[in-house]
Amino acid sequence: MKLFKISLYWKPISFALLIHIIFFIILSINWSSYSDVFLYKPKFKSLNASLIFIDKNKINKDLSQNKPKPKPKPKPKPKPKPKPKLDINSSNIFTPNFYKEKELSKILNEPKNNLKNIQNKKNNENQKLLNQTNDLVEYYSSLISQQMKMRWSLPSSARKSMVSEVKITVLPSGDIITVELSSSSGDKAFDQSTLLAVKKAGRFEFMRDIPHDIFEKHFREFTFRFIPEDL
Amino acid sequence: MIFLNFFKISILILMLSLSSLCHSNLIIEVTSFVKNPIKIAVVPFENSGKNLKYDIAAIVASDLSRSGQFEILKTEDMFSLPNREEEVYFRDWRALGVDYLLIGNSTVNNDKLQQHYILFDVYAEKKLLSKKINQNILFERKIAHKISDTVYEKLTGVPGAFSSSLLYVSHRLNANNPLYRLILSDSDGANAIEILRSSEPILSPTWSPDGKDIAYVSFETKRPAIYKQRISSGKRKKITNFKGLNSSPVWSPNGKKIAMVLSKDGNPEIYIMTLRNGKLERITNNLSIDTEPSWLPDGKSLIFTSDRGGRPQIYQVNLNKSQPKRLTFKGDYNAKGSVTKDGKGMVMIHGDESKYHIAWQDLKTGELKILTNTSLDESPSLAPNDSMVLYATKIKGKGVLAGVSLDGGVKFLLPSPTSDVREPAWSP
Repeated sequence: MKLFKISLYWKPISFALLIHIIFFIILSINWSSYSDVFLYKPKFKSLNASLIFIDKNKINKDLSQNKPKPKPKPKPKPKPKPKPKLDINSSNIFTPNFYKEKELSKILNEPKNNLKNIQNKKNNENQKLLNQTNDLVEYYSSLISQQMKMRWSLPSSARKSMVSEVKITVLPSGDIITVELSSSSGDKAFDQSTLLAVKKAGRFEFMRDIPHDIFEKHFREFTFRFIPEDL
Repeated sequence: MIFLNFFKISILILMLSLSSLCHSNLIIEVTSFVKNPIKIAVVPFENSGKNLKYDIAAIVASDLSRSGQFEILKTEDMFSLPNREEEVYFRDWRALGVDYLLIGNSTVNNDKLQQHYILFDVYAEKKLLSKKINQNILFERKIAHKISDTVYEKLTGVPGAFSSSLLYVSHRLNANNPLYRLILSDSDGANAIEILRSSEPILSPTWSPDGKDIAYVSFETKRPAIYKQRISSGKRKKITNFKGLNSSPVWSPNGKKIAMVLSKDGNPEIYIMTLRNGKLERITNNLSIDTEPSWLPDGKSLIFTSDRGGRPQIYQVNLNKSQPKRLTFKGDYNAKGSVTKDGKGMVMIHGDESKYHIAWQDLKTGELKILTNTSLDESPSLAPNDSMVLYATKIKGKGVLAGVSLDGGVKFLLPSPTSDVREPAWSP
């Protein structure tokens, strides 16, 4: 039994064990890297290009403070305070002038709380109208964003922190007349890529469908903010 | 009224307006005529020198035709086109059945237009008028209207009103974005220019007796206020801004005062403001509504609409504050009266069973005559020569201006192609 003395073989055995361990380690490492490949899901670079509206004060403030820009969201327009209207002509029913004037004098001379009621009623109506308008603006803004995203290809120098803003003027036909960089990201290639995205878009066909007053107010001139996400 | 129906030779002249300052001008259609119109031929005027922008003879012809008292011979029916006295052969014109003949010629020198025109009595073979007008070429249309005025006065004995102007309110129908515009135009609807624009209502435009100033009610501050505006400079002044109603301004015949309606003391009452110092004098004092003041030509009394008797009726009050006297008794709605310059009658809105017509009432006999067959009439305004009333009405739901002669025999329409028009005011 003395023939089989472990102490005599400890070197080759431990060597063999070491080799095995190394082998397994190498094996297991390789395996794990393979599994990664298998699990890989093709993932598109997610970009966020969103429509914002010009808020000159804000832009100036941002520039002067040089702070990183907050994550943009489509900003709802500040809601103008609806003002009460005394509409004396809108009714379709014919009212002779004398009665119109009588009614008007009643409204104008009524105690304040009554007048307020009328104003509140008008306010609600205006609010409804305003909500509708906001919905439309949001809808068309999202269409513009989609078109931009499709055409924006990022340069290799792009970093997550980069933001640039482009000011665009359009005709009611949807044709883009002017494109200018209103706020630079600091990286020339990045800025160029954003300008290119707008130029590639060329025209926004759906602009024709936007009601005239909404177009004038929101879309004749707007600013686009480009922010790359998930870089 | 019945004889009118025989003379509804509708659709006549389309005064195609020439573009001015991006406004679509009113178009005037004459819809009925007097029984025996004066037959006149207006031969196209000859012009030497620089080309004219307008056809002056055509403007004169359309002016006369619009008055409803003339029948104009068509140019293509004429045997010859004389421009000078020696070229006129009266028997030709007699053969055409023409009573009068107007010819003319013009020369243009350095933007100066010299217009010569001659009016003939065809049967008497006599010259009635031969006049020359020298004017800057810019005033072509004014020259034409001046000729119309002179010819009209010569042949009817009443001064023409073609050189006058109109004020009216045009209202774009858009619930989200209403737009009111105060428009000044020539009496034929041409040369329309906007003199005020607001998203709030503009009401009751009115002229000063000298035609230099206007006053109106504007809601631009969300409340009614009366403004006075100089036409030539556009300079304006808010003359009242009281709590409650500020409405219906009307200048006194001497131009020194404005009568108006204010409800600052609780309910609408008639006041008179002296323009020099802004002093107010209260004329009516009644718990009911008193509104729509209008001056009598002597400036010593006013007529106004009041429902003190239950229904709106027209009353007259002397400025020495005697008790108001009721003037109208027929129908359940009589309002917005204005008295003719001779003081003999007044035009007003007469309503009966929800139909509102322009009517004329003899102030002496109380005789009432309904002048229109449109039934939603408003805002009558007398022509400076009292021959016509301009008023607002609705045709197919659309606000249009219309005119009617004081005997009801002549009618015309001034439809605006683009928007609702209302509140006409004929200049002095």
